[in-house]
Amino acid sequence: MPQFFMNKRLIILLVGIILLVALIGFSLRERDNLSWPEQFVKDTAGFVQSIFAKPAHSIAGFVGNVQDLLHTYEENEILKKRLDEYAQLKIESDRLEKENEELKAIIEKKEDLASYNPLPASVISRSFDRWDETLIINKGENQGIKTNMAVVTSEGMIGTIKSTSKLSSTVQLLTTIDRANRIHVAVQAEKDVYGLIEGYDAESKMLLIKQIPSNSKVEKGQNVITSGLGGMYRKGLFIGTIEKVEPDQYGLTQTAYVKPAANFYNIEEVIVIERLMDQPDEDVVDNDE
Amino acid sequence: MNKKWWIPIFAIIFFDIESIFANYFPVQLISEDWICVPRFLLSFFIFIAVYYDKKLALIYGLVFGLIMDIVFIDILGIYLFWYPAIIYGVSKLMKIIHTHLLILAFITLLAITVLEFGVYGFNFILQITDMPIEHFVNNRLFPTLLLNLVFYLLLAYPLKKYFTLIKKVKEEEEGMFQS
Repeated sequence: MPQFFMNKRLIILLVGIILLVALIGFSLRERDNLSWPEQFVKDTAGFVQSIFAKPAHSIAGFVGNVQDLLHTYEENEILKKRLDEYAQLKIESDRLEKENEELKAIIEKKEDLASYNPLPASVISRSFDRWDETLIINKGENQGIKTNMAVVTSEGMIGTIKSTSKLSSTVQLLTTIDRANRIHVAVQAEKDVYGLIEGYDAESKMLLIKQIPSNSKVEKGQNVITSGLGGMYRKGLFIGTIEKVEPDQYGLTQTAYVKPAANFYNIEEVIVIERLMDQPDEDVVDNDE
Repeated sequence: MNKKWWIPIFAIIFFDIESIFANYFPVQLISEDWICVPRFLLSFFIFIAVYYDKKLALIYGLVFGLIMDIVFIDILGIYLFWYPAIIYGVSKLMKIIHTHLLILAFITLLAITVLEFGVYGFNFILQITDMPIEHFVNNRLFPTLLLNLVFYLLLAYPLKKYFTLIKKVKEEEEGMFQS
């Protein structure tokens, strides 16, 4: 047997494999926080990446502007049609907002599920191999970002904060196929229908709301927003519209396919939503999931 | 400035191009299902291994593999394993095969294929993805190979020139010390 132990390469290989398995095991377990060497590397890489992200933003912005110019006419037509509608809506929404505030003042309610604090951030990079769809943004714990906060663009919700380091944090997009990625949502029907987003269908590129009771009236074209009841996100973040509804195998429940409102390409600026309403205890949330 | 300092600078530049690539490259205009993964850093390391220094390439593979794992996937060990393993394999292979840019193009594509399958295998075992293999080959592997072939064709000649130049300098320096 001495021959076996003398073989240096074999020993290195074996030790390497053991280390590898240990590392994978270490990083796969449920972690609340990244270890400090990881945070350090992330922040350093984030700094360098942000230097490169800026010129990329401006080049992409220029190309986008040219494309916008080409579509100006059509867009203008559509916008003109919408404009009248918009004025009406604006007045209505102002009136309702004021009324809402007055009513809240009467019952002395300061925060509700919809109140939030927006934290704007820029995207500095995106996971390049795209197995796990993540973005890295240039704000971290120091700016008050915590895991599980919702992340939106102007179009709608795009994902949640997966992990944070001091100066940057990682956003997991809704398009990741992750069973832990569940969001409590409300479908805006005559009476709100509640459900959970349970995953993403890569083929049709739609989010799935499973297990909607078969007697609830969910139809194509209805809007889906966060309900605020899951404990993580504020109420009323726009997620998308229902594209189709299918009964499940046994006909007891139905599955709704939601077309996400946000565009998942060319994301530059995002807003992290901090919910002001008290969070439930962490233990309770963990048990729920 | 010594010309070999360009190696780490190039490595950092390629790393950052990879990291903003996915957000800007408009592959969805060609086909919504395609996913092009930039593997520029790996091609660069293969160049180091073949034209300059095998050991240096292995060290770069280890360091950047670890950085990629930490920054992008939060699972340590995937690229940390595959980068050095592939660089080692390529440098072994190049001992048998005559070094020529066209042959190296083929070897690079082969290396990227191995890496793609390797990462896919890891993700499949760890149940991060449930993508069937035909889907993987059609929508990930081929677009990725195409993209990296374009990259290779653009940069192979300048990179080869650069590395042969600094190798010559290095050998001259070593010769000086020996004499």
